[in-house]
Amino acid sequence: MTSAESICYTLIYSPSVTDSEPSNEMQIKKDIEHGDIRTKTEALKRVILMTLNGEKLQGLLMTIIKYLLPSADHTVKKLLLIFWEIWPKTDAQGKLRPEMILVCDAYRKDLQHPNEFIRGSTLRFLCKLRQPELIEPLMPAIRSCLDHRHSYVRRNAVLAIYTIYKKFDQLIPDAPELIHEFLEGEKDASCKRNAFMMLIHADQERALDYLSTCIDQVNSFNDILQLVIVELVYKVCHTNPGERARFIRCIYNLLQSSSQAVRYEAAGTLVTLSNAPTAIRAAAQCYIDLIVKEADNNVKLIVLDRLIGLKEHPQHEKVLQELVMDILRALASPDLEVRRKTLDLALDLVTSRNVEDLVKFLEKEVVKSSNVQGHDITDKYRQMLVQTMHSCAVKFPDTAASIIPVLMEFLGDSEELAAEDVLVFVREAVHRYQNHKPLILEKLLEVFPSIRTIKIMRGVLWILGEYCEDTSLILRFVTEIRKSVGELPMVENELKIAAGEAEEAKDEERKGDKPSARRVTEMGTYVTQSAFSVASKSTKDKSGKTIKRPPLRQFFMDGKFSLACSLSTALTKQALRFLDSCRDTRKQNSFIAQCMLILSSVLHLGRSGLPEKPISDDQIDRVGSCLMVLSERHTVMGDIFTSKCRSALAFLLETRAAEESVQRKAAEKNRSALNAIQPDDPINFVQLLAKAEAGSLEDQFELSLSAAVGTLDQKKEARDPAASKLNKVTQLTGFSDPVYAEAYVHINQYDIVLDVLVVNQTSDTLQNCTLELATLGDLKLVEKPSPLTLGPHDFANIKASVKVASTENGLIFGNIVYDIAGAASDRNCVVLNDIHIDIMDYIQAANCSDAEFRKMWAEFEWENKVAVNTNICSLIEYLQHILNCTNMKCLTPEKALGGDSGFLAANLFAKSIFGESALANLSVEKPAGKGPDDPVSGHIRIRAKSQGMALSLGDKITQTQKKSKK
Amino acid sequence: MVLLAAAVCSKNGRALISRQFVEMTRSRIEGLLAAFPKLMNTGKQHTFVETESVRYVYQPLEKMYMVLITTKNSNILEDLETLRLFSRVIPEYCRVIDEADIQEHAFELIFAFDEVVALGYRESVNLAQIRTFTEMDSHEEKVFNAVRETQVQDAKMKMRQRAKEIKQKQRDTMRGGRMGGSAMGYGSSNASRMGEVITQSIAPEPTKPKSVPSRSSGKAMKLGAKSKDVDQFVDKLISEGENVRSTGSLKSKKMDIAKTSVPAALTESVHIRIEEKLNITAGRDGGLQQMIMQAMCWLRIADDQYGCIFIKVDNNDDKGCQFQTHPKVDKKAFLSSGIIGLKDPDKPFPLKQDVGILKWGLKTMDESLMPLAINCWPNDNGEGGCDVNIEYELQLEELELIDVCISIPVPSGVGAPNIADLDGDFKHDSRKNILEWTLPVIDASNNTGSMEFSIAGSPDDFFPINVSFHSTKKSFTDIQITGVEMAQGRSPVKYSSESALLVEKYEIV
Repeated sequence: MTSAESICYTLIYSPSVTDSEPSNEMQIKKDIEHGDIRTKTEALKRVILMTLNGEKLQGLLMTIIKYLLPSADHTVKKLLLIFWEIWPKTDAQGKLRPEMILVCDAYRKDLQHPNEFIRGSTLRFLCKLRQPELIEPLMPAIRSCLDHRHSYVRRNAVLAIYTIYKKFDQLIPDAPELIHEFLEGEKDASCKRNAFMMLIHADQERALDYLSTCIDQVNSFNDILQLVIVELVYKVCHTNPGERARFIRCIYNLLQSSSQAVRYEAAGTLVTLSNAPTAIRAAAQCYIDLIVKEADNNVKLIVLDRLIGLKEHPQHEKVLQELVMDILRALASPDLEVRRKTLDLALDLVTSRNVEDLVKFLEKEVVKSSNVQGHDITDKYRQMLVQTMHSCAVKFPDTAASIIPVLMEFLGDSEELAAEDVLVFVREAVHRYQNHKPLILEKLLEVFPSIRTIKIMRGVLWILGEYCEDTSLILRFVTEIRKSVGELPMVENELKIAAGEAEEAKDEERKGDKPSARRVTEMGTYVTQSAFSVASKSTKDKSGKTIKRPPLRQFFMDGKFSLACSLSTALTKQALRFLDSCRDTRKQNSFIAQCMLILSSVLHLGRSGLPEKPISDDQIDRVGSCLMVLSERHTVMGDIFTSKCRSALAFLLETRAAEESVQRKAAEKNRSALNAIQPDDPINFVQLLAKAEAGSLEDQFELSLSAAVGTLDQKKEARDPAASKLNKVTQLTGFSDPVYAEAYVHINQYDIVLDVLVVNQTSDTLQNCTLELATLGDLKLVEKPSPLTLGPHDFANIKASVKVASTENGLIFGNIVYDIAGAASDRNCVVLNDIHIDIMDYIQAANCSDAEFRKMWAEFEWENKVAVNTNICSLIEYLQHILNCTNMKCLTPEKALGGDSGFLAANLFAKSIFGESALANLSVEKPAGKGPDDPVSGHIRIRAKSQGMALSLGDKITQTQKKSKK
Repeated sequence: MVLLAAAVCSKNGRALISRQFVEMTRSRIEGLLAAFPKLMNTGKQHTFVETESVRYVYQPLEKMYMVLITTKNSNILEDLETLRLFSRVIPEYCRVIDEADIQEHAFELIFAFDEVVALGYRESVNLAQIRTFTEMDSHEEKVFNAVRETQVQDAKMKMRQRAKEIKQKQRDTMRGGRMGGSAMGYGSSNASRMGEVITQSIAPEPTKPKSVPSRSSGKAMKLGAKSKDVDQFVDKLISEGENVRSTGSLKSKKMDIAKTSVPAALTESVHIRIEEKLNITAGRDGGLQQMIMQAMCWLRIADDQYGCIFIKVDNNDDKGCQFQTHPKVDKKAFLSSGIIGLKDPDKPFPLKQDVGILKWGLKTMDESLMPLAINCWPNDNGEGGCDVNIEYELQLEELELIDVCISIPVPSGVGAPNIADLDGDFKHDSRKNILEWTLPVIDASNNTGSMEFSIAGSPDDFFPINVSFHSTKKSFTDIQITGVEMAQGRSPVKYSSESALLVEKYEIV
């Protein structure tokens, strides 16, 4: 057994010990033998640290027993306890070392020591001892400690008896009886708790007996005792469901405990005791109370998780649905995580009955949050509120009417986050709910002039262009646009202003703007507005005076001509619609002329050089083509503009809805699979199950404990077929070397165990045969393998473990050193082959949302750009190949990857088991003008937080991107 | 709640010390600790991280993190409590919380951590206690050392004395022929004086301050002895207290049964409950010292259509009880015609809760009113033992007492009593030293009964006798509900009623 696999209670980081030469064993020996008490203590500390770091100091054992064990100094005594914890008590064959008997005797004396603290800590040490031979002689002393005057001794004695009984019940078969008696006479809360805990685990019957004598007084107990009582009830009811009724009252009492921890625990247990709505309600209410009252965010989040867990059960869900409004009280917390969880939960729970209340509440929250401006957190919170309301409206279309007006107010917001979500919502709403369309459009037209951000402007233009269908609406829309663009033609107008005739221009500007601007916004009142508040909308001309421009014109002057495209499309659509709806040719012509005037004026402005940036060629093309469509009035183009756009949106929404429903179905299927019992499922009878089979019935405490300690993983490992082990064997030396070595590299989660087979190929005896290892990269050797002696043609196995701290390509190298018995030569040395550690063992596919991906992409410091150099000809095949050999997951949905477009872009994501994220963006194309058999080309960009990760992943891709020819 | 490990990590992710409280392998804990800095999320407002198998709860401490690793269903509130305690422990030992300082005090910290958590469960300790525990300053050890020192000194002195005596003897024998017996006498007196001197030298020491523990032996010894006395005393108290408490809890349990057995009756939407409690103290020579009876009539209405009702009560009381109605109840109507109703007949009674509408009590010394008279005759049989005759008599024959239990204290450590004659059952509880005489029912058919036993002890050992019983059939005061009517219309209402007679205390002293 290597030290990595043995039980460990203490870890101390001590660079001073590992760095300096460990050869000072003699010095330590001298210190212990002859030093004063302080030197001795220091020396002992050093020994402990060195042992913890994998040094083997076997020679010191007798010195310590001889010179330190009899010491009366308290510090030395306590240090010795730690020392014996970590010191190997058995030899290589697993037999107890004879010296330990001496140690054992010393502890018998310590158990009778007059100092109660020494007794107590010795008893605590005994909890960790795993050798029954050592404990046996101590038993009478341990028993007598139960009657000690000091509660400190008693409570540790109880613990010692508990662990001894658990591990070796033959040593103290009457432990439950003993403890039960002890418990009845005990007054101290800590002792009581420990004794009670012991009974719970050792003999539930007795624990119940005791509990029934004091069940009326549980409320007066100390909180730690109450906690174990809850645990007992949980355990009893788990193994013996018939007992449940007895304890519901008791648990209910504890639900009112003064300690929050007890209440939390009791609520959890109450849920397992009973499925009755009252019980669930009481538990849920207790949880909600905790969320609201506890100030700590951790508590809030975890308790929310418990509520979410409660929701999983269909019966419980009904009860929770009634409590939605109570749950919402958690929104008072300023933490975003808490709020997000609360909103998600509320959204899941909301039903047609209380959706009204929910929406009203959310509206209030929105109003409240908009009063607090400028905080990053409130912005995000508002965004969350908007998203929740959006989902509400989708889930319950009836609520849309009340939600729409509230949300529309956001479009004028200067913060993009919430506004963007509103836009998405509006787009969906206008498409889905025909009956709300007039309302939405009306509102949109109203807020249109107040929109400040380009993205929102673009979206609104699109929606209005797409959905204003009546003649009157179309006309209104165009008027709004004209107001927003300002006086036409724009170039002349701007030139006038720029000419420097400050006063006049300003007057004119005012005249020109007034009629349009004043009605739309408060802009006409710019005289009274401070320059600061409108700074975003105005530029300063040379004379330093602010010039007010209408919003769209302002965008154009700032050079944001992408809006011109949206504007031209919207206008074209409107014009084409107008042609359909209005039969009067004169009106048709004048309308189209008006649109064309606006567009051409935009084009002119773009080229005039007045704006900060000129319009780009693409944008000119776009506007130009729109103008063409308008002038030609071709039916094909008309069709594209009027109906194809809408069907594209419909398709998008459909696929999205379909995706969602697929997800929901999958989730439901999971749920129903969890809850439903198939007719042909076997029925388990608790009484008939063997211990090992009872896995599903194991209670969650035990389960989580074993998961945490890592025993579950080991079972899984054991199941691995032995055949695959052979793949991991690395040859370390040549067959003709005097010492042949090969290693089996076994990779655990955080460590690598090298199982090295060493064969002596000579006919000499090799003494002091030592395997010396060193590492490169983020690896650390945990312990040095001990030297051994190999007879002629003998072989041996040496184990060494290496700790891995991060995902990085690592190297382990080393040599084997040995003396030949009888030969006077120097030490011989065989250099070993390197062992490469493959990072792929540490990378697992993982999922993250688009937004998260983008955020990380922006944040991560290390980028590695790998050029695609492969022999694979198909884009999809190449992606698949990369996914296979890097363990990454493709985040881009499959639908987006489909089609035969000649290029492909995909985002990949993975996480290492150490929690590091790795992002990759794959952009490949089939080069134009080449045949189908040509390989794909492009780049893969990898980003990670640490350099090692980015580099090694890049190396991995470079190595493997060529498909091996079969 | 299981705490796996407590660790101190530096900000750059190195685990400086870690103490595990459950068995786990070294690779596992190292792996968990190595994963922590990468999982830790800065910028969030909460301080826990969950992975598939464990939860980390942490708290920043200057340049360090205090981290707890717990199981996933661990109780977060408890863990936070523990975490707070841990992070208050650290500044106790390290002045500046940085890497070097933590390393220097690693062992002290580990010792302190051990005191906070036991096998993964939090101990209820505070900082001061942790300090005491780790300082290990034991008074008893000092006492022990002092005692040993005095013993050593004593032994040394005795040795010196012996040596002197021997020398003296040798000298005496040297000149034995010349001086004779008188010298011998002188020598021995001298020796005794020496002894006196020694005792004197020890005796005044108790007055000295104990700052010199080795010399304050006398005082310490006394204290030790005293504490031993106190210990015994306390032990005795505990055992007695425990006795009292356990019988108390036994009784309360019984009463609990009686109470809970009552609601088993099917209740209608109008339910009336009469509860009478007896508190009786009687002398062993037969006289009733005091009997207090308190009774209460509770009304519970479950359905709001029966809010306004009258209750007709048949009061056959001949014992002279004092009646008192709830202030809102019309007292005149009750006294004149035995009708309980609210003063304002249009107002309903409160719904769905137990409302006390009538209470009455009796305080008397009239022996004939005692429901059950107990007569206990311990007779000294002249051989250090007693023959005890005990009999009961049901004085109010209309009553039916259920689960009657008469507990007689018996002397401890003299074995089981020898039962000669018995009606009913008995049980001897050797741990509580009680002989329990139980009769399932006492009514007119077995209105008297007796028990006879013999046991070692004196006549005074068998008191106080405790009696417990309950009765549901007939009330002690003989008050009965004869009907319930609506306030308007006088139409009868279906109702249910129950009455219980309970014993709060029934003692023969």
